[in-house]
Amino acid sequence: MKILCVIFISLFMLGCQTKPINLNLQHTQNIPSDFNRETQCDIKLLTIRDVRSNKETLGQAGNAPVLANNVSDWVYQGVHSGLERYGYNVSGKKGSMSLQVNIKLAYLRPLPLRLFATVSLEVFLHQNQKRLYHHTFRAIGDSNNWANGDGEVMDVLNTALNNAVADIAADIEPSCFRIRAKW
Amino acid sequence: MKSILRFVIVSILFLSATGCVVNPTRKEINVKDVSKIRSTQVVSVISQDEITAHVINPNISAAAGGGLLVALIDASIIESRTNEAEGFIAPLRQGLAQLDFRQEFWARQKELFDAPNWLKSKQPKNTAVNMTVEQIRNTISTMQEDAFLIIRTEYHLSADFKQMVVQGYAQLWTRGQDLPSYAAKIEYQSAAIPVSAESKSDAINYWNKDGARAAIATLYEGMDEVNNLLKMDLFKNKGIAVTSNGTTISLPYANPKSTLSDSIDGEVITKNNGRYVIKANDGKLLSLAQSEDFKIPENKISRLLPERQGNTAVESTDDRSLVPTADRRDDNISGIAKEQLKKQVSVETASSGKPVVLVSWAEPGELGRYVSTSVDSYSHKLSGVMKRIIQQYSKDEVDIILLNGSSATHIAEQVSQVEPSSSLCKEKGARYVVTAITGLTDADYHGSSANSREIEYHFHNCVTSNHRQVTKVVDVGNHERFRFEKGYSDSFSDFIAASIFSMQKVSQNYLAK
Repeated sequence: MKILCVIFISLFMLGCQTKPINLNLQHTQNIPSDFNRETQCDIKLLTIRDVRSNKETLGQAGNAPVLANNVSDWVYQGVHSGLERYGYNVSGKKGSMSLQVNIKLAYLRPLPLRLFATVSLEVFLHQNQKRLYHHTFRAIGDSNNWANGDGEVMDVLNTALNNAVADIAADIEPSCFRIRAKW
Repeated sequence: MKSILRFVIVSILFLSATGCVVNPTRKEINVKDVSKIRSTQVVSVISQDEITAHVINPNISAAAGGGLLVALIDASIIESRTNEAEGFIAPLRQGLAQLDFRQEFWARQKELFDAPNWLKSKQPKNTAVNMTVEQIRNTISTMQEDAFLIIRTEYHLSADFKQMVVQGYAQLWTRGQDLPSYAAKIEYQSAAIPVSAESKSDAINYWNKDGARAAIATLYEGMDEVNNLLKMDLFKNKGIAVTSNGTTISLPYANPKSTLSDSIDGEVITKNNGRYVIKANDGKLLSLAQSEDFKIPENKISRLLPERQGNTAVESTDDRSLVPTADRRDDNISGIAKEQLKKQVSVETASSGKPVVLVSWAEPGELGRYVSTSVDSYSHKLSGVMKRIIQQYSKDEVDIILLNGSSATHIAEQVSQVEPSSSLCKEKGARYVVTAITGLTDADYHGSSANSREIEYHFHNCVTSNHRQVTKVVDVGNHERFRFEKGYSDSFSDFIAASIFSMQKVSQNYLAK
């Protein structure tokens, strides 16, 4: 009976959780990759611009707002390591092309039983100050919401970011090819 | 024991759904409190980042009188409906990417607070962070002002996707009181769009067409209506009582609790431009359309929207000025590839005066990835990829479109999903669309492919809509030239050119028949 009461109170508190979730955003790779060749493309990754309309929160998990203040750093880590994973040579200082990434959206939707994260990134690819490419990518990550825990929230955000980076890596590759072949 | 567990489950579900706070739908302010208010702090909350679709709680547990099993059924139905709605609504989210609901709503609200009002309020503090009752009470206990007004706004599609809904919820708290002195739930619903009740994808296409014009215009109308109702109820009538004209009416209404009831009764407060403002029996203030004939609202802002072309379900912001010209395209291709391509273009240009060849390629690493990206409606994404390829490699009008795709598995799936043939006919004004699918495999990347290759051709006659599929084994040249050991190489261009050459020959034979 005592155990049930403890479970009840815990779950009640979970249902009522409105205390903000303060995340220290950490990027990790958590999606499989089937993209396994070298592109031999050097990319200079410029500082990430945070152009989100809502810079206060990363949406909500359950009833709790998700807060974090290192969103740009997190996306930089995700894009940097993600592109390297897909065979690009990424540097913050030099590269045959420069990649500018703007964060347009990064948020969780407050659904009772699932966590849905959306990340939308606007990408500009330049070579010698000439724009080669401009596209906006959006991707999602989702999972069951078991306990509204920081780890779960972080994981689903990383999934969305990693899916977006996978799309970017695939989509900019023809531009990369053109550069290599002196197109 | 069982009953406790049941209570736990039902409580969790209930509390998750309600957010733990039971808010009164309607509470009118005590006249005495009005005179006490000489200054008001205002917070306007929009915590929502993108549009959602309403999901109706089946409430089987309530109908069945409770029970753990039915509670779990409720939960699973809600989850299933949520997942389905999330899948359908993705293209509309992309279409609405150009609309910043928060900023647009707050700009309208600013006008409301610009005018002097009895609350003696300054401009609201706009935020995405909602406040709990506890936080509001703490604020009231420390603030200098006499009252605290919080306005929460959200927007969504109705459960059947046919109506746009904008909701506002205002609470006025006065110092020294533990509960709000005033509360009002305000809701705008558009008329239902004319699509069949069962087709959510049709509904999304309707909202999304012409740059999501219908969705944006109704959202603007919803923002205006919510602000107007708040102005009327709280600013003009001081939250005391809205006056009805003494008549009652029954209007079409997307009931958030049930699909069984599609109308609502209420006292008429105002009528304007085919819309009624009514006070429902539960006290909610509603702005509803009388007629079920949907028309895109001609509000001021929607008229100011630029004319949009095409469906923006695909979030594509390609810079058209960067589309290479034919000459630049030639310069981009070297060796045999260049010669082959020139040959293809010259043949058809001579006969029709229009460019003929459209070159594209797709590999598992590119399009394949889109196929594996599930919820975000990959068919739309694929359409976007195809469009970009077309824009890069063709002029405005072409006579025959040749699409050379690789990786049979992915492309065949893509062809069946997005039907590029028919859409390309329309989009480019082509007479024929020829899609060639080649099975480029991992072996090709390592130089072990054979000289001949099986290519699957799809011939589509745009005029007659006849579709024909042919499989041919073609010689694509010396495999030594098709090494893909470290990324792309010039030999890849050669492979493409050789494939196109083969395609062209087969196409010409077909067209000659």
